[in-house]
Amino acid sequence: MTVRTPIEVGSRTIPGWAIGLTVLVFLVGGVYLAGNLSGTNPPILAAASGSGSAAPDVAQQARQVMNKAQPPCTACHGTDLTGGVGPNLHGVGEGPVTADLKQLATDHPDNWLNLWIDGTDPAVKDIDRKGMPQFGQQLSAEEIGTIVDYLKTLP
Amino acid sequence: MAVNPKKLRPYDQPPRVRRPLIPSRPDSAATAFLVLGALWLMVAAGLGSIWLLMLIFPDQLHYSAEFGLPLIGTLGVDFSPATVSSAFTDALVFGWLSNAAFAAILFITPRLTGTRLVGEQMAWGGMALWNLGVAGGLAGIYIPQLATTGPLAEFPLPADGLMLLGMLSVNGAFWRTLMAGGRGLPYLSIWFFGLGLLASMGAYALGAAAQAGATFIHLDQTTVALIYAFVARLIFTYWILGSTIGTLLYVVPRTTLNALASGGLAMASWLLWAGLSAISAIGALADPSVPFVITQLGNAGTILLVAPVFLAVAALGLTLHGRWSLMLGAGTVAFCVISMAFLVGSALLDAIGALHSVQTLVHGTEWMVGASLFGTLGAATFAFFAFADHAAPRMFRRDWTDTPITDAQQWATLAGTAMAGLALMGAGIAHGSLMAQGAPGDQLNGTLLWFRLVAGGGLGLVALGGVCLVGTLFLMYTTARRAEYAQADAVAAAD
Repeated sequence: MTVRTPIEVGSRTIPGWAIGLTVLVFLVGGVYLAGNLSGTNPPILAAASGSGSAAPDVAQQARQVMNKAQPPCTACHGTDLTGGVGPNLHGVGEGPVTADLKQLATDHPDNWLNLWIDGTDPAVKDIDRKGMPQFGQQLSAEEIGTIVDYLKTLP
Repeated sequence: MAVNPKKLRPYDQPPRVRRPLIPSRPDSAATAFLVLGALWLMVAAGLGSIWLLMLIFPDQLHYSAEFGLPLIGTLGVDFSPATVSSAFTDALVFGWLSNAAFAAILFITPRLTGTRLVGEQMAWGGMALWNLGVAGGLAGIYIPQLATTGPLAEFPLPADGLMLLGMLSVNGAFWRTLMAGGRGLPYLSIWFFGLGLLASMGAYALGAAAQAGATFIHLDQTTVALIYAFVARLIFTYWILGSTIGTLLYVVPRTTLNALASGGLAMASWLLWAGLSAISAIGALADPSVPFVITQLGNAGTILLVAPVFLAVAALGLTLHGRWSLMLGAGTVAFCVISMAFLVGSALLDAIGALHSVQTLVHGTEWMVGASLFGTLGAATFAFFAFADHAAPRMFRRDWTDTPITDAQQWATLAGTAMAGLALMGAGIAHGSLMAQGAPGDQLNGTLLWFRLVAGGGLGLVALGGVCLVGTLFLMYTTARRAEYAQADAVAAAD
């Protein structure tokens, strides 16, 4: 049996309520847009888990290490590392973002961030960690170095 | 003279039918797409469950290693929550939903144009290329040297190329069939399918070009990431949403035997969807390098997408008039109604998620996946379940009535999707709120554990729904009586 079976279509006009509903939705969208004309977007690379390059790079390797850490870095510093319970890490490559780490950075300008993340070195034993785990107990020095290299790239 | 039928001589035997390597029987490509899609659904839901288990037991289930291989050098394998969650989304969108959408397009188009599918074998080629690309891409996700992870993971370039060729082949079969039909203005499903196919092919091409740019000319990483985010959103709005509405616009009138209640509503829905989907995708361009107002314009587009979805659902709901009793049992109409409910829900959730204040709270948390599940596992999956329930007996030419397995498929998938979606959205809100309050990591993980357990159980139920679909297709093909259904145009079918 071979037949063509078209589907019948009813009224081709648009009901008044549908026009009203559409206008209402457009009004809501317009009001939203009018109220959000200024602000800043978060960086897309920090939010994405990869960098977009086919080759392995610092961001990708660092993300893997940060997911491996328990708790993951993003749990406290936010998924885009712009801060949560922990401080915003963007710009950390230019120096400490909290006052109590400034002395550490002065004493160890090259590796203060490694020491701080590690947490087991005597150089940081007197600093209040405020809940920051000693990641040196679960990550290698190379893995911490990978995280530091990545953090220094954050704008 | 009595003839012993067991001893037929060569000239008594019927001539052997030569089977071509690639079948050309009507609906054969659509059938292949549907069966493969059902298998992908099981894989996708299984991967989703594993992802959530990995979040619950990060130390036990994480696996990362490097292997030294001749010629290639060192090759790493990373089996982590980041890679498995990407594989889950990709298997769901490119494996299940895209294959089911291709099946629907290849099945519905000939019936609406009144001609046999032109290029059945080309569609078969598209099926092979597409699924090879998806399988290769998914394998590549676990190898950090080949791919990265993201919202819709950036597959390795060869996988992207295969998928693009597959999409091109299906586009070719679709447009050639449409040209061959040539009987006035096509039905609205065709409008949704046509634009969805063209837009998604363009999106894949853009994504592949970005991948090539990153590989060969070292395109700026931020630019590449922005292109990927834009492409992912285009795929959700044009491809998944478009093919879902197009399929429902066909299945609902066919099953209820009613005329589509309002062509005006459906056409208005198409026009708004066509324009707003592109604007909505601009909202994905969230980076300091993009002016804030541009991103917010895109988010406003996402809010406005509620309008075409409402209009389409209204047209479909009015079409069900007088046939509501059909939704009481499991089957095509019940699947359609569930799909329509999820369609409205996901449009509203997308609109809420597009608000800047909400994004600030839940950005990068489980909310994004949970909200998208209402669209992918809810609206689209149930639309394609409805399509499968309507089309599979016609594809297999079998006399089939729904069985308890169909009930199990409906309830397992419905409960699983609701559980997983709500739990992940709840987890996202809890995650964002706790971080804003400065809760310690231990408290965060402890709170999220229960949400993740519920979501993992939900995705397990969805996997069970996939098993039921595969079981239904298998039983239908192997046990049901043969039956004849209406086919597309006789003259074209003789070609």
